[in-house]
Amino acid sequence: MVRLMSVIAHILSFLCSQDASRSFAIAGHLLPVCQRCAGLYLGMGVTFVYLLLKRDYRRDLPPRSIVYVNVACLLAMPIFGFHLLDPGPAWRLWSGLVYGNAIVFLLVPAASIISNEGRRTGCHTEPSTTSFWIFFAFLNGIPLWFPAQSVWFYYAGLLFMLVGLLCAAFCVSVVTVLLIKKLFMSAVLKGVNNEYARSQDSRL
Amino acid sequence: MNTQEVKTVGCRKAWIAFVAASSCLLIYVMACVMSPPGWSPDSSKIAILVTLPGEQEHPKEFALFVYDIATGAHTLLDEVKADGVLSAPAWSPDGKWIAYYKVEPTPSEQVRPSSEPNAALSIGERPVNTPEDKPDRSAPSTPAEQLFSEENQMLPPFMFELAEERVKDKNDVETFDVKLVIATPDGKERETLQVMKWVGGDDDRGSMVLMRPTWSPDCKRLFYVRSIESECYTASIDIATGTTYAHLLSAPPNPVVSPDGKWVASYLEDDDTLIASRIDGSVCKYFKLDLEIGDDGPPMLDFTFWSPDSRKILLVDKDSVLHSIDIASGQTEFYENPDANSIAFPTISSTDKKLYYLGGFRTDEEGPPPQTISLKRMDLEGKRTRTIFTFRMPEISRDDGGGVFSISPNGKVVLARAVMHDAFEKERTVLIFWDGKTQKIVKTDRWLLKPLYGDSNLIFEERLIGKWRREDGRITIAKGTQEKTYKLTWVEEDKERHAVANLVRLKGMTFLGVFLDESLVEPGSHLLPDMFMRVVQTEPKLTLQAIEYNELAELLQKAAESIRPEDVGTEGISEFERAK
Repeated sequence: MVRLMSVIAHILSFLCSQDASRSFAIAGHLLPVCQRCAGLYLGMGVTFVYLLLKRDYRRDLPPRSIVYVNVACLLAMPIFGFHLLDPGPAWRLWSGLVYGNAIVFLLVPAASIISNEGRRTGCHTEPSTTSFWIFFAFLNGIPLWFPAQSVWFYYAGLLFMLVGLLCAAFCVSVVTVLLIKKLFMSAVLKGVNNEYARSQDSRL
Repeated sequence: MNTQEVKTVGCRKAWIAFVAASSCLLIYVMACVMSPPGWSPDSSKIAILVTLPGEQEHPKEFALFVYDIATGAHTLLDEVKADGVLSAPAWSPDGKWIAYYKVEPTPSEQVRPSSEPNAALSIGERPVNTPEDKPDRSAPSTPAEQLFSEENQMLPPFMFELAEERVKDKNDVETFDVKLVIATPDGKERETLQVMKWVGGDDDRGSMVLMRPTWSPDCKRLFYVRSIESECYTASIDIATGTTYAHLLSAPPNPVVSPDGKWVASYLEDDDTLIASRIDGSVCKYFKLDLEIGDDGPPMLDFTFWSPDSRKILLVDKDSVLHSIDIASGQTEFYENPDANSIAFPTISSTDKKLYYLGGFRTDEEGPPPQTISLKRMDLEGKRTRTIFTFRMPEISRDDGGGVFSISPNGKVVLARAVMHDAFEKERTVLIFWDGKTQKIVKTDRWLLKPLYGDSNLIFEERLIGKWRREDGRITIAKGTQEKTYKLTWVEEDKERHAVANLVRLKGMTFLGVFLDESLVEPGSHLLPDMFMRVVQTEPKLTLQAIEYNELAELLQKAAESIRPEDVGTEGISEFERAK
C-alpha cells in the first residue's frame, strides 16, 4: 500500500506542484495534489462516472446551454489559477471542480464522436439537460463540506481523482491512436501523394 | 444536409471540443507544475520559541512565533499553557512549513504491562493520527505496540525488539502524548502528523524544549526522536502517506540527515559512538570515536552535520575543534588549520555550501564573557578560512550560558538569543541580530502578553506633571510628545534613565504603564508596557507602587467590579515629594 501511494504521488508530481501548504489533509493524510488539482481531478472523475451512468456522452456534444456554462467555467480558471483571486482552499477546490467538469463534459463526448467517426446515437433531451443542472449544483456544493475527516473518504477521493485522470488519459489515447492510424493508413497504405485519399481525409 | 455531411460537421465540432478541452487541461497542468513556490527560505524570517518573562527554568507558557527581521512583525504559530511543552521549531528546506513537537497540558497516563492485554493504554479520546489509522498496519492492541508503532528498518533488527522487550518487562510506565505538528509560517494552517507515546517523566517533558524534528532535504519526510525512558530511537514519517519507520537507536538530541536524503545519523547514549544508517534500512554503520564530545558542552547534534556531498560527517568536539568522519572508510580526519580551531555554532550555508561558524567564542563558563566574536567562513575542500565580520557582544546575562547563537542559512546574519537587564535591572529575553553593519535588539517577552487595557482606559492627569524627589533619587514627569502620554526621567545613583508612560484607569485604580523604549509608544505596542506602577496618590505626595504584569492580570481577573487596596498589599511602595 505504501509503495502504491508512493507511485501515485510520484506520478502526480509530474502533473502538480504538490505544494503541501495548499493541499488538503484528510484524517492526517496529505493528498498528493494541491487543492485546485484535487478539485480538477475530482471534478473530472465524478463527471466521468456521471456520464458513464447517464450514457449521455454517446448521444452528441452537450447542448448549447451546457456548453456555455462549461466555457464560462473554463474562462473562470485563469482568474483563480493565476492567483488574480485567491480567496482560500474552498474556492481553489471549487475552481478545480467546475474546470474538471467542463473538460470532461467536452472531452468525453468529443472523443466518443471522433472514435465513432462522427456517429451519434441521438440528441440531448430535456430530462438529460435537467439532470446536468442537478449534477452541476451538486458539484458546486462539494466545497461547502469537503473534506470529511475519514480515511475512507481520503481513499474514495483519491480513487475518484485517479478515475478522472485515467478518463482524460484514455480519451486522449483513443483519439491519438485513431489519429495515428488514419495518418498511417493515408501515408503508407494509400501513398503520401494519393490525391483521392487526401480528399477523403479532408472531408473528415 | 445528408448523413455524410452531418457526420462531417459533427466530427468537426467534436474535434474543436476535443482540442479545446485537451488544451485547457494541458495549460492548467503546465501552469500548476511550473508555478513558483509561495515562500522561499531567504533568511528573512526566524521561527522562535518564546516563554513568559522570568520563567527561564520552568516555563508555564510556551509560544512559537515567526519573526520577520525586516518588518519586525511577529506571528503566533502555536502556544501551550500549564503543563504543556513546545519544542524548538524546524523550518522545512522549502520554507513552507515549520515542524515542532507539542505536549498538550494533560495529566500523564499510566501504561500497564502488556501481560494484561486488555489494559487500557490511554484515557480520553484517541488521537487523530495514531498508528491505528494507518491503512497498512493492523491496529496495535498492546501498550508495547503503541510505543513501538513504527515499521522497523533498524539494523540489526533485534535492537528494536530488545527495546520493546525492556518496556514489556516493566510494571508501571509513565507515559505522555507527544504530537508531531507542522504549521505554515503565516500560522493559518496547522496539522498534526503523528501523536506518539513517550515513556518518561517531567524531566523528559522538560528536555523537549531543546529538541526539534529534522526535515529530509526534499521535505517529504520528517525525522523525529522517540523517547522510551532510557532508550531513544530515531524514526521518520512520510508526510504524504503518514507511514512511519524506525531507523536507529539514538541519544535524545536531534538526528542529522544527509543532503542527499539517503542517510540519517545520530549518537548512541554513551556519546562516543556515532551511528549512520541508510534511510531505506539497507546499511547501518557504527563509528567508535576517540574524541571528547558532549558531556557538559552544548547539545551535541547541533555540532554535527553532513558535508555537502553526503560522504562525510563533520563534528565539533568539546574543544571546539572540527573533525570529519568518512562514511565509506570510517577514517577520522582532523582539520589542522589553526584558524579552524575554536569553531562554535557551525552551519553549512544553503547558498554556497561552505561552513560558517563563530570564532573567538568561549563556552567556558568560568572565564570572562567573550567581548568580540567573528563570523567566519571555511571552504571545506580547501580548508581556507575567512572572517566575514566581527562584532562586539553587548552586556548579557551569563545565567543561561551566555546566550544561544545561530547563523542564518545564507551566512550573512548572526542571531543570539540572550537575556539582558533592563533599566529596572529586570531580566528580559532578547534577540540580537548582527549583519556586519548594524546590531538590532528585539525584546520578545512582550510577545506573550495580552493587553490588559484598551484605548478607552487611557486618561491624563495634569497633577502628575512636575519634579518629584525622595532620599535616594528624583523623578521628573513631563507631558509626552503623543496624546495622553508622559515622559519620565528619573535619577538613581547618579544614573539618569528615560521612559514613556501611559496613565490608565482599571477597575477603580490608576496605573502608570511604563515603556522603557520610547519607540514602543506606537500603534500596536502602546498597550503593552514593560512594567506597571500603581498611582496610589498624587497629593500631597506622589505614591507609586510597582506591580508585575502577572499580578495585575490576576487582580483584574479576580476583581468583579473594582480592585480593593488590600488585594494589592503594600509591597514596593515609594513616596516622592514635590521638588521646589
